Amino acid sequence: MLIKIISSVLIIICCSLLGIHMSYRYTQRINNIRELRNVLSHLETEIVNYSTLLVHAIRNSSKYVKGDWKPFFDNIVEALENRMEYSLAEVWQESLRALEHNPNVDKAEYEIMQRFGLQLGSSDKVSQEKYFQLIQEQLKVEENSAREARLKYSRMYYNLGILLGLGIAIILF
Amino acid sequence: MIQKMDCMEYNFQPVLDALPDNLRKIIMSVSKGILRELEEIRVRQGRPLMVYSRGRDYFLCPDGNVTRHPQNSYIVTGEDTRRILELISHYSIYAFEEELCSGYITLQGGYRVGLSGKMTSGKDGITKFQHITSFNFRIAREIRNAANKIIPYVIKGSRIYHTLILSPPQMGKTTLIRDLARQLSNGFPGFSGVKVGIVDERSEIAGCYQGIPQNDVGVRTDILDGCPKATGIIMLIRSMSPNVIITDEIGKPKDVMAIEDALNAGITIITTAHSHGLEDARRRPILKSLLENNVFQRIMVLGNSLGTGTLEKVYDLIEGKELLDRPIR
Repeated sequence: MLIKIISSVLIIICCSLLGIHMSYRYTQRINNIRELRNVLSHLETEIVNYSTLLVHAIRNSSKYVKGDWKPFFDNIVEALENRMEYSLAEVWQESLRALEHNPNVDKAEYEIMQRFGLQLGSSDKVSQEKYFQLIQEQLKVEENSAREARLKYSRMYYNLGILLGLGIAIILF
Repeated sequence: MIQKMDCMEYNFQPVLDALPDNLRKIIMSVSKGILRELEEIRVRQGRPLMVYSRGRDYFLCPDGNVTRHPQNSYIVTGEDTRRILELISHYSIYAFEEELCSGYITLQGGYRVGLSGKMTSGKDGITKFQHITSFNFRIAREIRNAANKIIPYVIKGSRIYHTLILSPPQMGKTTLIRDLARQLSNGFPGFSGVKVGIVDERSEIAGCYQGIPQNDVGVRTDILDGCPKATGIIMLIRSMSPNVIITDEIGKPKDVMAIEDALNAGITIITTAHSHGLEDARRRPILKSLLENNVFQRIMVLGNSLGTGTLEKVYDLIEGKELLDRPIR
């Protein structure tokens, strides 16, 4: 009997944690988008106001990111500093590929960044400023949709985890 | 690394770094004789890759051999020109807007890359440079002691004469005043160095990269890089107290006014102008006024009667006589 109780409690705890983990993804995605927007706005200042060379601009801006996007920016800086034989677009796409299957990065952000990589650094300040405005707007839309998704699904996964645990425990009894 | 060692021999690594891999390989495979005297690498989109060396141009094959037939040569692609632009701007075209609009970019080492393509002009001159499709990589060479032949006519004791060097294009006048700047600034036996200010409007004399001269222009030399001549001369007079101001290719009325300011401040001016000789210069309105007012004490004429950079004539305008009985090189 005691074993049954203990195992049921364990099952409930595990399922709840699974539910929490699933719901946390939604929060993490929002945080990632917010950080990304922050980095891009720093990058915009460096480029548009100070004309900093792209490698230095990315290095300076990437200090403001901690989450899943950090390795992406670090990779680009490292690649551009060491391997001048690759184009920026190639380096950008290659670094981005590491995030393709990251559960905290949605396909939508991935594609937005993919397109942005083709435009960054390749034109004058006025156009660069426009590209930055565009990507900020696109990311804002994604941030809002991520918030809606969190409202909808985060609670659901959380409850689902606990209910699943309880369900299994009841069947065991 | 081996590649790097190889081209160090020719000393134009920054130019090679600005070329995409495929073009770099072609240039590196060109025969040593041509590379040693390489003057220009011409990259024009959709047309043959060419180099200019030993006084003529060569079409390059994909394997680096030279050919007489353009149809056998490597044809430059749009991807090549796009990559060059990315490399010379360090992936940051926005940071080079002004340079692009002036038609050239200076690389590390003082190498200049001339650009052409589609331009958009606005009220204040060229506002945008789009579709850059032609690049001219110029391998400038510092020729030390190039100024030795003119020094006896420029300096007498500790006195330096106001000097105007007249020369057709490509006769080595920039090389000459660069070395003159170095010698005046460093000094030499019998002459202690003086403070020299250079107004380097087109970054040709000192070849500055991020404000630091890449050519040796002497220890007592200050350079205003990319600064219009007239403004630069006045800025130097006000703030840097030079003994000599050196500048290249005067030609605007404003330049003349700035030169007169410098004379009034007791500063020696050494400058150059495009011209084939004294008579030719007298026919030009701007130069004419300078010559009539006896602003310059020495006029030197360069030509190529004994090869590029021959000193054809030296005039002493104070005494009104010629100082050179025959051309020297």
